[in-house]
Amino acid sequence: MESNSMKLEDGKPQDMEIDPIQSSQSPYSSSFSTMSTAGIGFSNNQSDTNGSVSSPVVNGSTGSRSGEATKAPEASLADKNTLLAVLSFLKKHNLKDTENILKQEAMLSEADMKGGIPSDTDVQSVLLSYASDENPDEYTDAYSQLKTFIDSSLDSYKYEVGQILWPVFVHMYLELVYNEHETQAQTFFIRFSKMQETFHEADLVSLGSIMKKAHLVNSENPFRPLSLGISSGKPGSSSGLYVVRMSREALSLLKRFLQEKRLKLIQNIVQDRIFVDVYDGMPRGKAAVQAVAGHLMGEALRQDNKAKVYYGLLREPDLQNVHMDEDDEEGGGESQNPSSNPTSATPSAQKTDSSQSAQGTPGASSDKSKKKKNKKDWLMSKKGKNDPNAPPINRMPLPELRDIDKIEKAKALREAGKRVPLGPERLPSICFYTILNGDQQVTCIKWSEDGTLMAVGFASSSIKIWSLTPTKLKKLKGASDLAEIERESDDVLVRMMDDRTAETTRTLRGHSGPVYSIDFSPDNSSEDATIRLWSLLTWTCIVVYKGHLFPVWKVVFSPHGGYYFASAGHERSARLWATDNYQPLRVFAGHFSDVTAIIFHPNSNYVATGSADRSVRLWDCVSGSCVRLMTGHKATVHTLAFSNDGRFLVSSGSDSKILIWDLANGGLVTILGQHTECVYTLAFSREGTILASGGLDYAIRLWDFNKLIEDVISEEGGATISPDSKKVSGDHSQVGAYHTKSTSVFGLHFTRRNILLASGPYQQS
Amino acid sequence: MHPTPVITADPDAFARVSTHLAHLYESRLLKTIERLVERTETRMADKEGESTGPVINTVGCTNIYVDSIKAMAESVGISSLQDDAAKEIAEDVTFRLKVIIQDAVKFMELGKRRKLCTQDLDYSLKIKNIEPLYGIQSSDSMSFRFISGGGRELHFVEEKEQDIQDVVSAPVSKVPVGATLRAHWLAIEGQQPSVPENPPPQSKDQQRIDSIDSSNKLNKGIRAKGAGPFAPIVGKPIKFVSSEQVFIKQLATHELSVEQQLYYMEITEACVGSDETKRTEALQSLSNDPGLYEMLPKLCTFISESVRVNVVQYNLALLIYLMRMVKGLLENQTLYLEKYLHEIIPSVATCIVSKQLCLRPEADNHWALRDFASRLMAQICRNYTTSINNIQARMTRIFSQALTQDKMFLSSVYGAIAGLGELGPDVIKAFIIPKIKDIGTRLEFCIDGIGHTQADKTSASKIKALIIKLVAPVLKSKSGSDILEEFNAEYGYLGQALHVAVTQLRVQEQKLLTATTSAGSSTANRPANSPLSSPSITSAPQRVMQAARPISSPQTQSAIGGQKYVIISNTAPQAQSVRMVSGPLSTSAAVQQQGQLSQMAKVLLVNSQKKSGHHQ
Repeated sequence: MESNSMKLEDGKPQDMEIDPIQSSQSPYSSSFSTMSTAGIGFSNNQSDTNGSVSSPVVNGSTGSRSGEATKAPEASLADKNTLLAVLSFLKKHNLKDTENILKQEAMLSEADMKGGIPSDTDVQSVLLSYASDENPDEYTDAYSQLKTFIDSSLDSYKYEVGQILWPVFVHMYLELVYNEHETQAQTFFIRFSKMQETFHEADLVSLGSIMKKAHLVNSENPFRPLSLGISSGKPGSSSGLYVVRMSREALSLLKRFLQEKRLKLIQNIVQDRIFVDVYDGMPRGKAAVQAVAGHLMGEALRQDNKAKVYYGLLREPDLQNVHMDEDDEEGGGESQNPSSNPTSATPSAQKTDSSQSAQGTPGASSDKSKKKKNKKDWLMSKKGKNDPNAPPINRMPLPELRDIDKIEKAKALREAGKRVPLGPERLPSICFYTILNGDQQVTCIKWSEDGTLMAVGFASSSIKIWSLTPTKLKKLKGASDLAEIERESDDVLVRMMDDRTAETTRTLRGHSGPVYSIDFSPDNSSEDATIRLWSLLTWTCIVVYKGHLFPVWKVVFSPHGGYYFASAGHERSARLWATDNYQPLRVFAGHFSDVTAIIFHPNSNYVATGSADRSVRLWDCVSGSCVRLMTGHKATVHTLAFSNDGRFLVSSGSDSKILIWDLANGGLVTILGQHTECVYTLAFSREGTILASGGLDYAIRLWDFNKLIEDVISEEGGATISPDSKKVSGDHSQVGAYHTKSTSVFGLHFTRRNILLASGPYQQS
Repeated sequence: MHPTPVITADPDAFARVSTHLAHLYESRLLKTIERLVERTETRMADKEGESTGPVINTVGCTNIYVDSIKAMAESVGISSLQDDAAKEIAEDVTFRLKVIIQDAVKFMELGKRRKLCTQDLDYSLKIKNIEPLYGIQSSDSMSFRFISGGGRELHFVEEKEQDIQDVVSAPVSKVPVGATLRAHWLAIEGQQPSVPENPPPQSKDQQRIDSIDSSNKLNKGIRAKGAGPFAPIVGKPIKFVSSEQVFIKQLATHELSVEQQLYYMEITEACVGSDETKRTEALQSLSNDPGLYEMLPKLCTFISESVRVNVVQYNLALLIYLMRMVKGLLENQTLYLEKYLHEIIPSVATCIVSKQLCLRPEADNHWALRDFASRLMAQICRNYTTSINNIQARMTRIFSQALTQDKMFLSSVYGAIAGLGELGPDVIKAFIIPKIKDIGTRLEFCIDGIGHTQADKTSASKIKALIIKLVAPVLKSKSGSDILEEFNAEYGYLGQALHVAVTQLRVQEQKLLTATTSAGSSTANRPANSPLSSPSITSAPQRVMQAARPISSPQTQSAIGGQKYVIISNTAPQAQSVRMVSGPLSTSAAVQQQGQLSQMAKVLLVNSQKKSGHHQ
């Protein structure tokens, strides 16, 4: 038991998670501390990595809420924090001599030490703020006064002010628990838990389980991020606080009430633990408030979604001229060592990004040169399409197209010519692959891009791949046989395969826990905390990526060339990888709970994640920072999809609602609420007109996507739209609902000719 | 692992408990977890339906009680656990269990399942660096047994002792079947084809809702029109719809695809054709095929039209085939026939009460058809009678009216009795038994009287047999009187036969009873149970009953001599009683908007009477 607990200390999620206290001091300090601790934890488990603290390239940031730090202090600060992390590690393991030597060498003062990593004692000291000597009986009274005030206030303010009911409830309860007024806490909980909004139900369950002071300190406390959030006193800093967005009038109304009634208790909570994002204008109504509520930490700040997002698409490579383009643009060292490229590109890209967001105009000198270059490219290309929202082509280094990729692209283009244009008047045909005998076993389903292969992951840790065309799945011949093949012959590729091994289905085994996610070019993730790369020629595992310490929930390939991939896991972070590097290139940290969904933006520059903390975030792969935070889901987000133009993000999950977001400003476009159970899969038709969704409720629903977004598109600029004043339901745009015979829908995929493939396991009654 | 709570309890006991705590977690509590989860989840599910918001009393309900901890401590050999210690442990265990369960639910969700299984708990323990439990696996949810006694309630999992020899020598369990793929078209260009792999286009529940609430369908129709694949987009106009919009119900068009038309042809031909194997297949298809919903109107029309034609032509065989088709449709789980009952019921009713169904009534077994159709009618009544359409009440009225008419043909009388008989003992009691005397007189007239054809005689004896078959069991349970005279008085001509049948039934019952009681070896209460051995006991209340009915008792006494007198005097009160029963039914039926159903049936009855009159 003892040794177990030691290990747990090292790999504990709390070390991985971003601590709000830290980030309140500097947005960068936390990011580095996170990574280095993670690095240490890693080296403990893996002796062969030689304790190397992760490379400085890796920069997970907390979605820095203030991005004004200049570059120079950032670097020194980062170094210092790395050192502090190492020191705290040494201290923890009682390596005093090393610690002292390091201290001397680094010339760190005691004062510096104080700002180090929060240890358990720090957590306790933060929680100390809950200590109060108020009469525990006053809590119930104060809360019911607040409740009556809100219920009786004017309708126009009611819902905005009502937003504080939940955080105040949580904090009051925790305060009672912390001060060991357990019976009062229980009566308080029982009395007021019934009055909370329905979507807080899951939170109420976990909140109710915290009944002792000891539970509050416990690292597994699900309300840890919330209970640690305390105002640092600095105005404008909101990190770690529950965010409530309120109009000025509503806030003043609330303030007046609190002062009049002298509700010191609530006043303190509002001051210290809730961040009120004030805006001028009309207070929002019920629908608007409820549409964006649900995130563990309240609403997104407007500031969070200010950064510019290049949601436009990259220019499609011209297949005729493709060779010239490459010489012009991406020649040089990249092909030699692609892994070095992202690392070297990072600092400059980061700089441009921060300068852009700081100044609002893309005017840095390096940027200018890029623009020129791009212009030349556009002139050269036949299409010459100029998408103002597209990122510069070399913003994110992408692998060049190989010959085989070009052939594949050309094939896809030809197929696309035969495609049936879909629309509300012309719905797709749906081919359903029912998986028999797979009840309770199937965990994920994925098709290859061309729809010829289908992979199914099972809870029994195996993966099965079916060939959906008459082409059989063959194995590569053995090495000695391969040597005999004449390399110049035309059919060398055919000859390489062993005909005797032809099968219509193949099983991949290697994982040691349920396979939660697969993606082609085949790759998958598992409960055993590994990601494995499999070859479809030899049908064996090629690489095992072991960066995750906890189960990996999702893994996804970049749409460009299968070089980058991203994974999301239980440790509340998502990671960006390159296939030729066994360590992640980026760690995206900032979610407050498991990251359960991840997807690449069509231009590969961004990664969107969905989490059990009920928020959706968009991360910049280049800088590693969070550029969008979208709240509104009421339960875990399980699936995400980008619209084909890259501007809209669709998300859905356990709350069975489908939410559509506009990436231009992070605003909620609409909510589709026809599903009755958890939605696990979303897919766009090839031309982006039809959105298909499916889940546990045995139904596939089709939506007219153009109709859903027509209001947003028609608006000039579009970016100013937010759902604040609108009715948000988009249910009228459902164009079809197809029920299956007790078969859940776990996977949806549009083939190149726009036939919708769907699959799921049949459930025996 | 475990916090060290500050307690003043017996330190030794606590230390021992805490060393056992890990063990407790793993072996016993884990089973309790499932229970807890189940409880919480069902509660959550219950609550979801309510709109008033969550009512979760998590603090109170899903705790591990101090008593449970004590019981568990006892089971590992700690007998004197202090209250404080137990409380402390209980609270800590509860918190930890909830955290574990929370993560397990996460694993369930990401495993895309609705059901939490033991593996989820294993994984949840694993990510907390706790050794998971090995060996506890179950495919189904664990069943807990409940025991209460001495004011204590206990849920537990029953663990049977197993002989290791049995386990070793048991045959190796079957390898589970591997997953396989099966492809089908869920939709073709937006239309869902009716293949067995797809669910029926309209679920039975939906059909039921539609038939009850037509406005529901109207709304849906409009929505479907707006969204349907071939309809123009009407989303825009709907946006500007003012409150005064008038919805005009579209005429329903039943367009059948070529395949469906072919199917319809094949199935109707096979059903009425001469090939018996083909017919069996066709009927099988009718009763099993999920995609018949769209063809239902056509099939119903086919049945009703064919019945109309074949009744006139006395084509018994075809009528039987048609009734079998009705049976097939009734059996089909995916169909809700209510909308087509106006076609089906008259057809079936015709086959029950029609005067003549075959060319040679004296030789052909049209009685079987009447019986069969009666059973169908009873099934229709059972399945589709609602407070709105009142099918059963209306059918009962029609049949009983047929019985009241003196000039009714014997075959129709037979049908009416058969129809009523299938509707259950209550109907028999209320509508057949009071009529037995009248019918008996008529039967006597036919059987014993002169100038009657052989056909009449067979009909009469058929009716007699039917009445005895139907009425005897009811009479047996109705009263204990077994005196022949009383039977004769009450039931006239049929009294004797009924008496014999009832007595026989009683003897049979007694045989059964003695067989069981002798097996049970208790002989003390046998005479009290068996009615035959103690006539005096049963006759005593009978006399009281007779005394309580002063009007009928003189009649019964005089009835022994002359039966004709009894008939006249008896009909009056009985007819009244019938009217009394049917009175409220008819008023309630009059309230209903669609009276055409019973009217049609009536018309048919009248028609058949007319026809038969014409033929005579």
